[in-house]
Amino acid sequence: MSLHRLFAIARKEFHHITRDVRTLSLVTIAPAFLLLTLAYVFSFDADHFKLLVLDQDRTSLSRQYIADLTSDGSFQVVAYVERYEEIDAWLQTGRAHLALVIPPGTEAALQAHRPAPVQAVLDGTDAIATGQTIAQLNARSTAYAMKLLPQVVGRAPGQLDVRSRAWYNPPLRSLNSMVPGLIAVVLSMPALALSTALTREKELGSFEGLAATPLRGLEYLFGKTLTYIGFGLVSTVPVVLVATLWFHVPFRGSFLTFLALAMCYFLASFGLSMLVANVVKSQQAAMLIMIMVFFVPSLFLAGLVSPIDTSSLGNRLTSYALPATHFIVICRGVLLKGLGVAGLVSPALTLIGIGVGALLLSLALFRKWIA
Amino acid sequence: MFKRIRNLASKELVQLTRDWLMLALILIGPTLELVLLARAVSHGISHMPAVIVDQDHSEFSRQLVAAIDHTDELDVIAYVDSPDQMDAWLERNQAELAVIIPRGLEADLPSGTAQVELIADGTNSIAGSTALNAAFGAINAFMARRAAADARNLPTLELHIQVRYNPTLNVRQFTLTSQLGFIVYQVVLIVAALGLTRERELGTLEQLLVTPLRRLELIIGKAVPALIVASVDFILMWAIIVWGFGLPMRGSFPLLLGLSLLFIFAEIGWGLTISALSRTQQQAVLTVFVLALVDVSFSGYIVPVERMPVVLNAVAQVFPLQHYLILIRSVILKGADLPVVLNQVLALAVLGIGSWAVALASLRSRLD
Repeated sequence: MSLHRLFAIARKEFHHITRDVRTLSLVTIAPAFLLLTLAYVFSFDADHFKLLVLDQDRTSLSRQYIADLTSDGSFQVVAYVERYEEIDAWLQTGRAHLALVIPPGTEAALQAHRPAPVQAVLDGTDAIATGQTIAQLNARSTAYAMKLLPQVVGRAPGQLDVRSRAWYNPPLRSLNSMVPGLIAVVLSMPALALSTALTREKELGSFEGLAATPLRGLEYLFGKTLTYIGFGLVSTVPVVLVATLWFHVPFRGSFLTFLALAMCYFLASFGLSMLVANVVKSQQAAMLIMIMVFFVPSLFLAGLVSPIDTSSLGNRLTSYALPATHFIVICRGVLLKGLGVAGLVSPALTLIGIGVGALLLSLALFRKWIA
Repeated sequence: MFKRIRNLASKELVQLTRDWLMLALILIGPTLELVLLARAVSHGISHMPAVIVDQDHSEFSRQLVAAIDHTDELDVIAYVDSPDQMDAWLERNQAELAVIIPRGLEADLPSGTAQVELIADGTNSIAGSTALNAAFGAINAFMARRAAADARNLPTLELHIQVRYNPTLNVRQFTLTSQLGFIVYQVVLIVAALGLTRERELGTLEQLLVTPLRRLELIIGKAVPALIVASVDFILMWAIIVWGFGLPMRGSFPLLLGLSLLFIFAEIGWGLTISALSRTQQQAVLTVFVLALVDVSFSGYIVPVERMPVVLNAVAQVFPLQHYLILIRSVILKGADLPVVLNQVLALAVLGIGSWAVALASLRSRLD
């Protein structure tokens, strides 16, 4: 293998990118810009629930219950309604997240030592938000019920004080979770750029010229990849700056560690780019596969918003096959947990494994393809 | 005019069908994406691993742990002897929650000094807060049951939860409908955004420009393959999710098809605009990627729209995808008919006309 030829290809690719301002900015600062936009959308601290109240009991107990629920601001009463039928309108238009129905005779039931049913009605179309609403409501209601017991039963229950803390992100600020995850998502742009760069030569026919040279497959692939690795690493700088300086997300690990692990991620995602580029003939096809099979699934299966589904082997394999899954763990590990390479050996090795595997497969499939 | 459009359209179709790999991908790609997502996201957050540090080893502590394990959200996977050992579990992402039960907990109960500590992994804030809420709720419910065990009844507030429109709280229904909309969106953009750019990059656009073809006709002709491909994909994906994944179809299919065509029309405008403004396909691809991510995020696909800051919500209205997703969900899941979704239809129509106007204008300025 000739390093001279490899670097010649790398230099050529470098000039291709830098001579066009738009391509250059898409490859270097677009990821940071994307992070800026996306993070705002993903900062959804779901802790304000609009509550509709149908209080048919109208006793001091029912009023106290509502007051207790709304005491810390997580639930906010938007209206009191008089009739059950009115609930639908409020839920369907989204003006309320849930409706609380306190039937008549609630206080009386409790005072007579009978269980008092209370109904909560939610719009289930948005299942994730609904799940959180239910969890929050349940937790608060059981806490209130606990407080009620001494009044009703006549003696205090064995008191248990439950303290809770969240490590690495004590305020459970969603930006702190989402931004590192989004860093992994936006840093997949270089892989997309590489796949189009590789297929472009085929599509434009300029590959023929290259095929006539002594250029070997390894030199060609590595040469192009080298340039994109370079630009990828350059693009991490504005991305990290946006994350730390703009969004105030902590960066507890070392930037060098981050760069080294980002290299592993580039290795894996570039390997996949090369594999795709070897198979398809047009940039459009490359784009279709990269976006539909790798990037979009990464948004959902890589643990960005909800944790990865480990319940079945198939689902677990699918998630682990995506490089983004491991890089999200790495980003959160370096930024929030302050881990070094030692603590992130497992995802790093997995990424390297994916990369090397894809690379070897690409080399095997590489042909000096001529139209 | 129509003759020229028809000729251009048939040229487009011939070119499209010539690349069999691309055709196959257009059918397989979305299907694969649909299957991948639908299989995986089939339930909400549940079975999060929890590790227990039980230094009390009493009947009470065992029952407490059982109560936590009994929840859907948490699964107790390990017991360790000391808090130090617990650190590694949280650090290595092997547990979402740790429960620390100090020695002498059961003994401390009567005096009211009993204390239990919950530690969640905050790196994923949703998972962390769900874990804490679930554990908190389980412990409280357990304590309440225990206290009232002596009394004849359970004098407490019983919360009955009724979930409308999606009784099984199936995340999958939400995701499948969103996925349908999103796939149509992706296909439209991929075909439309690269169409013109490809011709420019390959040099064949010049040849098109010396024909009597007018700009509007050129755009309409270029829109045809996108329209056909997207419609076919829409019908295919709809069939898969209704018959393959068992999604209930409560609305009318013709209405859904018509609304989808309206959306496709609106989105093609944006695709053509990108196409007209990009000099190389690589630029178009990266631009589409950026746009798609922004669009997806704003559309309420991943994050519910009401939860977003008001300003972003307002900006989100400009993206056709958001309106289309609302349309799909209303028609499929809630059986809505035209009057109910009129707002969204109007929005799509306006956005569609706007995007085509922009596309036409862009082509005018970049005919080099």
